Amino acid sequence: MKSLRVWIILMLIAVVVLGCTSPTSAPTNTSAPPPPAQDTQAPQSGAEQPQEGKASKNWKIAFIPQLIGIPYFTAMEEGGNDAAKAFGVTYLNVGSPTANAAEQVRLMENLIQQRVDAISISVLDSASLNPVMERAEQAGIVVYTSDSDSPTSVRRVYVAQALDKDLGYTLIDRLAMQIGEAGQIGIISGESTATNLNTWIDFMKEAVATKYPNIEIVDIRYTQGGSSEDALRQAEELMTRYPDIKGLIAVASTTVPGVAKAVENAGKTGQVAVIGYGSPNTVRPFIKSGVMKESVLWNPRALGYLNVWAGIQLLEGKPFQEENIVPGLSDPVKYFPDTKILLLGPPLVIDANNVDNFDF
Amino acid sequence: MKTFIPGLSRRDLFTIGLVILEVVIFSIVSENFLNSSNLRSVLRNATELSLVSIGMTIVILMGGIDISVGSALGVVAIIVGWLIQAEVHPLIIGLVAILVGTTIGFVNGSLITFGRIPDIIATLGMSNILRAAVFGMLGGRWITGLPPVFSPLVQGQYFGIPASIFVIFIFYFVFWALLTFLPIGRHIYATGNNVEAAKLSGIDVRKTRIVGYMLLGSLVGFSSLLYVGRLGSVEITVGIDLPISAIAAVVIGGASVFGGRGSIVGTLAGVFFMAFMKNGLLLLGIPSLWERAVIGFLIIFSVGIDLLINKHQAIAKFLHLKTRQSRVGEA
Repeated sequence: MKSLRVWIILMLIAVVVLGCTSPTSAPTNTSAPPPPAQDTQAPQSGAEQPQEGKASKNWKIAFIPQLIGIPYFTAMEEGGNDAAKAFGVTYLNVGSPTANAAEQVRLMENLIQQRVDAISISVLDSASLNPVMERAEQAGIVVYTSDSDSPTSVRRVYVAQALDKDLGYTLIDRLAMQIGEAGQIGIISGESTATNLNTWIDFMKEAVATKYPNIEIVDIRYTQGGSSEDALRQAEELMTRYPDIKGLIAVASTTVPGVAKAVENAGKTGQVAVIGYGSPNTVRPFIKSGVMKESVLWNPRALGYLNVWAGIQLLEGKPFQEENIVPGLSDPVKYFPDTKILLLGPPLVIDANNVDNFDF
Repeated sequence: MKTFIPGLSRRDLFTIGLVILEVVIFSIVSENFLNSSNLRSVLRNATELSLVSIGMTIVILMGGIDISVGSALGVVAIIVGWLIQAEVHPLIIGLVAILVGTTIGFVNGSLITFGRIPDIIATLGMSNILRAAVFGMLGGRWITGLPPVFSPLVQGQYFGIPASIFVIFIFYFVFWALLTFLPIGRHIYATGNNVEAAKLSGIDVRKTRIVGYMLLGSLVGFSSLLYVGRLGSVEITVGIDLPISAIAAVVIGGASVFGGRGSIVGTLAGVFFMAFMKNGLLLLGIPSLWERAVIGFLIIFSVGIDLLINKHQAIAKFLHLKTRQSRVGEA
């Protein structure tokens, strides 16, 4: 009886220690790596598999996402697997269920020990990851970034989904078109500390300030852990405070359903436009019901695909051209040599016409 | 502690007074506060928290705590979502939700009583396990676009009164009666007041604890129906601020974190004090960051007041808690 008790306690402790970080901090960051998207006919599948472009050997290419378990990184993983199949390489998706920089450091150390050929990473915190990225390079591993960059690191290239500026501007442009370029709009974001979300919000403000004198951003709200529930509450309250509000922007992907639902609940479908960086699966019901007309994203599956292709080019010493034809991607991919950025393309606008073409 | 209103302690009246004061102030400073659509929205968005806070009060009354309620609500909400997609009859879904919630409560209670794991550690462990289950069950894909099967419970209106009011009233009435008139209510208070005395007077403390956690679990299970009805989607962040909000509501409502003292009426006042505070701050255009700071301040303020009012009582309880812990250590 006593030993049983000891065992239970030991197991519990093990669970607590192994079971990631604290329960509240865990999902907190989920909002950080938000949504996605790119060009419409991107590689929905690696179906039209290229004969050309096979890799010269079975390289081992690893990717460390910010976290696993959210649709966005699941789609990137699927794209990576498509590319691995198409080019004949091995792709490892190595992530933790919580967005945690220390965890990324640990995973990268592991990959160095495993002697993979290349590591790509979606950087959570450059300060903590730059040193270990350098160690990996010293160990003879090709290191590059994708999805989230650390420009100050030793990374060879940054495989970018879309330019932050394009994302911010596109979102405002689309919303402006929906509301006739005039009226009050509100922004609902995730955690106030999420760098990428804040960067987009800055570009949104810039877009409004420079292009749309009749649009006013009345408030920017932040939600605890990017919680959809919190987003719903704040969206309802924003509509109360600004009865004439014309549009609501849900910046973190996790807040999109909450904001859309709030407008639906308030019976303001058609009066208050909702837009955000929501994945097609997330926004599909709202696009069908008419609460949302559009969502702005890139295609994370295409990004995952490009990520692996870029790794192969680096490993085989093939330089990037200004415009690259990637077998399996329909549109050419631009490369900016001065910043060493490989750009998937312009943001993707998801609407009723194309929402069913995607599954992420 | 008795007052001129039967069943309400002075501390309850204090919290209710705070809520009234708050409503008056916000009505004056914000023109949008006191209108029916705003009040309805506040009410609707506080429904689940109100119910979970009943259970949290029970657990805190026994000197315990449960920080796994958010993840537990997530797990049940996912199951509810699946069953709705499978077009199972709503009554069966409701029963399953309550059953799963109660089971989670039973596991928590058993770990704490039979495993003798401190409440905070046991529920922290459960919280992590259940959060991992949320990840695993969603498999990187959120549940969205659920039909509004349970929406009438939160969105609806009957006789011109929002459904939330009925739900909250029924649950508070039932649990108030349970705590006031049934033996389990006295056992819960007695367990929190003085475990040894409770044991000596023949109360099965273990059973009481487990039942307390099961009651909380059943409320979490039912609340997941409201959550799904209100949001129509379940994503990975489901319920993450629920434990902190519920604990805050209970503490602001005047329950002692040392157990034995508190009431669900006070807790309900605590829930609405927080809900109106968040609402009022937003309507005044105060940045979101302050919301958390204000709630944090309120928690400390409430506990501080309690300690001042019941200085001697609290210190005595605290010492008692320490001796109890050292005894557990020897076992």
